[in-house]
Amino acid sequence: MSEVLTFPSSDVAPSDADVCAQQGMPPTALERPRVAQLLETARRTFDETCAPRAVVALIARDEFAALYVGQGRNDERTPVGEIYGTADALYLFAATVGAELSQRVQELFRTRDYAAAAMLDALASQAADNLANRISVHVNGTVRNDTAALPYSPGYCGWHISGQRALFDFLRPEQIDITLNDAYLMQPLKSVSGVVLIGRRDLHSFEDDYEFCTTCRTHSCRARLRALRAN
Amino acid sequence: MESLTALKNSVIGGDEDSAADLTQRAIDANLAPKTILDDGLIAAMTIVGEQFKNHEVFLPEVLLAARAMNAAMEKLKPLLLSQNVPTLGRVVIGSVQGDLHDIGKNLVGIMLKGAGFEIIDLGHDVTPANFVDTAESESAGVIGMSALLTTTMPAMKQVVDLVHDRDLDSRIKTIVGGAPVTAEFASEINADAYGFDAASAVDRVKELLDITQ
Repeated sequence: MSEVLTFPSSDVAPSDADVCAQQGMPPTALERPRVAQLLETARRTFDETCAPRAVVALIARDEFAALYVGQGRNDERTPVGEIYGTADALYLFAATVGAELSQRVQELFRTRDYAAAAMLDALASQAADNLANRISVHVNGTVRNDTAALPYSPGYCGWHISGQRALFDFLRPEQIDITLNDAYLMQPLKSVSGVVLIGRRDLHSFEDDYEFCTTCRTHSCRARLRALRAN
Repeated sequence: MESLTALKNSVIGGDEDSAADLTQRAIDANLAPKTILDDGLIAAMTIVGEQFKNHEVFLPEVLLAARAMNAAMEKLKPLLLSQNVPTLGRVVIGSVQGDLHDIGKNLVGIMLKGAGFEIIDLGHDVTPANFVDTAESESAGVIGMSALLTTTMPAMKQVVDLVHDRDLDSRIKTIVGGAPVTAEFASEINADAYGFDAASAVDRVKELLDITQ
């Protein structure tokens, strides 16, 4: 059974450093008045429009096994494929930082105000990532107090983007106005979906030696795992 | 020329009001539109592109400069059109089907425009047919594709294949880029070029179109 969650925007508001990182800048970039001004304006819009909502549902391992296969287009070896079988609990989720925020970003791009658009886009994208992590914290609290939870999403790390279809069929995020188009893209654009895997801390230990890792420029999984270990 | 130096500086500084005003003044002073474009606006964006490449300015500053250039172009464009001043060429850009990430693609478009190309931006989630149909109907010399997801990269090959299937290889060149895309991948799918970043994409497009300036 699914559950709808709402969070205050302050729960997902990105740090200045994260917004800078999204745009490939060091935090010192904010010492430049024009850059700082753009962020200040974007934060005002963010505070006015960000409305984080999520739908989550506990899913049994065997049900997830069928769902994860999806259309059979995943990489042969993936972290999720290798670790979900030993997770204590799995939660599917779909979440959005809100239609209005996504629309404001699109509107700025449409009017070619790229500087303002990119800044607001960075805030919204990071907020969506933060929302996935916030959901992980929420559902982790439903298991035990010594487990660790991390979100994994279709479109990344060998989980083919077409996996969104099976996830949507199970979760029905339309109830919070998130829809999927034929190219498996979510609307509102600033939405995120996937599975939160909950288990012992070393559940999430894996190397970045998968085939898809050779084309990954960020290897952001390393930072995620380091942060998990630090907590 | 002093007025063009001021115009250049206003674009580099991202001051759109000043850029528009100085462009109008240059027009009123009977400077040739192509001179204003080449020695004012394109020269400014070339400097900004170099500064970005050397990590001397950040993405928002490049985008502010582009906004200033756009404000100036609003004044200049009617004159360029009326005098049939040619652009360096026409480039169709977009994020491939299934991919909604378009910041990188936008930046490439801005840099290409700053270098003097005409850009037809199809946005994100662009189908292979839309890329090729548009390039064909608009007589574009290059299709630039961006992808941020490894799972959407195969759509790039579909575009390259479609150009080949329609026997357009000699008229339309393809360039690919985006975070997970590599030179090896570009070569594997027979794309004509690979752009590591926005600045190098401009250089590669110039090479594809045999532009030496």
